[in-house]
Amino acid sequence: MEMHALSTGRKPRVVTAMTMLKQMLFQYQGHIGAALVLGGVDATGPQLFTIHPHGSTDKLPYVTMGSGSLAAMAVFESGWQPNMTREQALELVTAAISAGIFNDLGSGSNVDACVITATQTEMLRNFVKPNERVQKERSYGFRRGTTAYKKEEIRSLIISEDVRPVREGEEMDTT
Amino acid sequence: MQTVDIQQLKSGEVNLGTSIMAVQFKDGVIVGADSRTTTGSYIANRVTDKLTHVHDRIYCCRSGSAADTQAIADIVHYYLQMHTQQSGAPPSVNFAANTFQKLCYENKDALSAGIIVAGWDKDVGPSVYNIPLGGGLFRQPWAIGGSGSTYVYGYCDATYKDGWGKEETIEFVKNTLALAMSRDGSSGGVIRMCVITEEGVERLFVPGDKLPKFWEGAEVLGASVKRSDSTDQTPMAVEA
Repeated sequence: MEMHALSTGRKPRVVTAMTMLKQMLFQYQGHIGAALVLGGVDATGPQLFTIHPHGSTDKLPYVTMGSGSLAAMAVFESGWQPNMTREQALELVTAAISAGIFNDLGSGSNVDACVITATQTEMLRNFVKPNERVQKERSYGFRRGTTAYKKEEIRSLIISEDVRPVREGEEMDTT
Repeated sequence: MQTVDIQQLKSGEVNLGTSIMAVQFKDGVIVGADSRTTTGSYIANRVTDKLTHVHDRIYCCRSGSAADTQAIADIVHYYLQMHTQQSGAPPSVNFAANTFQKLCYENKDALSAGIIVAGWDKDVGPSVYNIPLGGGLFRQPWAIGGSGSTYVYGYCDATYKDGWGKEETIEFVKNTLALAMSRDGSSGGVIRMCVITEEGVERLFVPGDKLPKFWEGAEVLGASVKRSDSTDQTPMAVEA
């Protein structure tokens, strides 16, 4: 994409990235098992795509991908409305991903989000952490000396040596 | 392999289990399609646009593998742009159909694509070409395709007549697709249509709750069924 932008002298478009991805995935006939959601803002406005491993693409106002996509799409289908604000959209995406985290066995941990606008992109890593680890109720660490042993050997792995130059030589020519 | 199997898609492939059609009329052609794209039993896209622009007055209807048909349509779109730049005139529908056919025939072992090409050109006016799975090329006054088409061949044969105008043809396409979508589980959603004439391309849209309705069995399941009082009914004796 960087090369394309440089050679055309224009800002790259989302469809360009989409076309490059679909052509590559189609070339590999589905052997590259990549299923992608592609989103961005360019000269033609904001847009979302899904790209399947065989190279087919869809352009939709709201998209989901992966094993949790059914759970996430259920949230989108009931909660999406046109012309949502940034806050509304972020809340809906969070709810959709959370649906995946809690109802799909293949999804879990935290919600990452990324807000892309015409001027900047904001990565929200671990935006929501609904699965923080808690203190274990019991410790399984064994007390020192639990296991008996017959022999102890401690070896030094640090090798120290003295290097003595044989004779003074000329400096190597590195010009 | 003597016969080509429609269902023989690569596992997990996105399928356009489709109902598509194109009909020629006096001043142009009408192409139509449902909007369902499936991955197995999941509807990956319920508002798909299977009517794909390949030139100003030439569209194609895609059925089969989504990836294959999109790739083919992209290549043909490129060829037609190239052709117009080099010859200085818009390509004929015949040329577009031949380009599709060549790709479909030469790569028949790797593709599952059933495509209908339709459009208007200066030489012959409106025309419809059908390119089924093996990569044949057939000019037809009307063509239907996709898994849903098998249910409505009889309807089309019985209904179609030569010399229709635009409005009659639109109704024919709309009714045929609605019937196909109601019988075929892999088809559904909305109806998308394009009217292609010398003047231009007009897009038509029929929402899923505004589809033409046919007999749905209400008379049989409704009032005419006599129900006796539940009190005098005794359950049938069954052995424990």
